Amino acid sequence: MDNFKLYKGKLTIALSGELDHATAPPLRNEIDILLNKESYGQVIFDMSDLRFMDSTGVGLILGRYKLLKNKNKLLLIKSPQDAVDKVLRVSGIYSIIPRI
Amino acid sequence: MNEVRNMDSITITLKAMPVNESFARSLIAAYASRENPTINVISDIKTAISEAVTNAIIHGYNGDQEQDIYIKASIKEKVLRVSVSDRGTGIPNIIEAMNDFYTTRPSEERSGLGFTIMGSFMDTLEVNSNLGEGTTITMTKKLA
Ligand SMILES: Nc1ncnc2c1ncn2[C@@H]1O[C@H](COP(=O)(O)OP(=O)(O)OP(=O)(O)O)[C@@H](O)[C@H]1O
Ligand SMILES: [Mg+2]
Repeated sequence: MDNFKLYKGKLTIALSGELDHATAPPLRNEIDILLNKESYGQVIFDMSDLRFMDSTGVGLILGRYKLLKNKNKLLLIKSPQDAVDKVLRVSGIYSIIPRI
Repeated sequence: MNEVRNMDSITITLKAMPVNESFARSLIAAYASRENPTINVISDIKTAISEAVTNAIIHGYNGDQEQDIYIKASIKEKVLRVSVSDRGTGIPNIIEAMNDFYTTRPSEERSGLGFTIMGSFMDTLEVNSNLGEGTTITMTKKLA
């Protein structure tokens, strides 16, 4: 994760590089620290700089979705590249997490 | 024998380390690129290889990084054929394991989509597994 910004209750977290089983653990940790620390109404995963993601990434996103759902917060996915978008589509994620 | 020897193929053995997931998918993508496939085809191959190698590491070997993963790839008539093998636990029930959302590791935020992705990103997917002996995933993809 390179950066995040909080604006008018929207917490945008930018994902970058490659998200797989090797890179997921530290990323998950960083995201969860942010989610616990900041106050926000909704969270946006900005995926425009994410080049690669596999099912491990789907697990990470669904895990954060569940966390946020328990807090009654919304999760959104923004601007995935084609390869990542295909993984998200095949996984059926868009039926619960809207893409903007 | 001659036919086998003349076939365009590569074989590699990798330790079951997470860092080898990106190495394996990049390597097979580089190998496939000799047929000038589209970016979408390369992306599909990378994702499928990543799934198979990750499964070998996590499920096959339960995270034991000293174990070996064997990858074979060949190209014949513009079709890539790639297999990923482990000599790990094996899969008790292959049909069940291949179901969408079936996972034996829900607590690790796994969602049981690896086989779903391999099956829909590649042209063919074959799973051979024997309990206590290991698992071989074989996939093909038309490159051009
Ligand atoms: N190489 C393997 N050795 C032993 N068991 C395996 C192997 N590959 C898959 N499995 C079994 O098949 C199940 C389904 O695999 P699949 O990749 O579809 O899902 P997952 O790995 O559990 O979750 P995800 O891939 O979505 O992170 C696994 O949970 C595991 O029980
Ligand atoms: Mg898997």
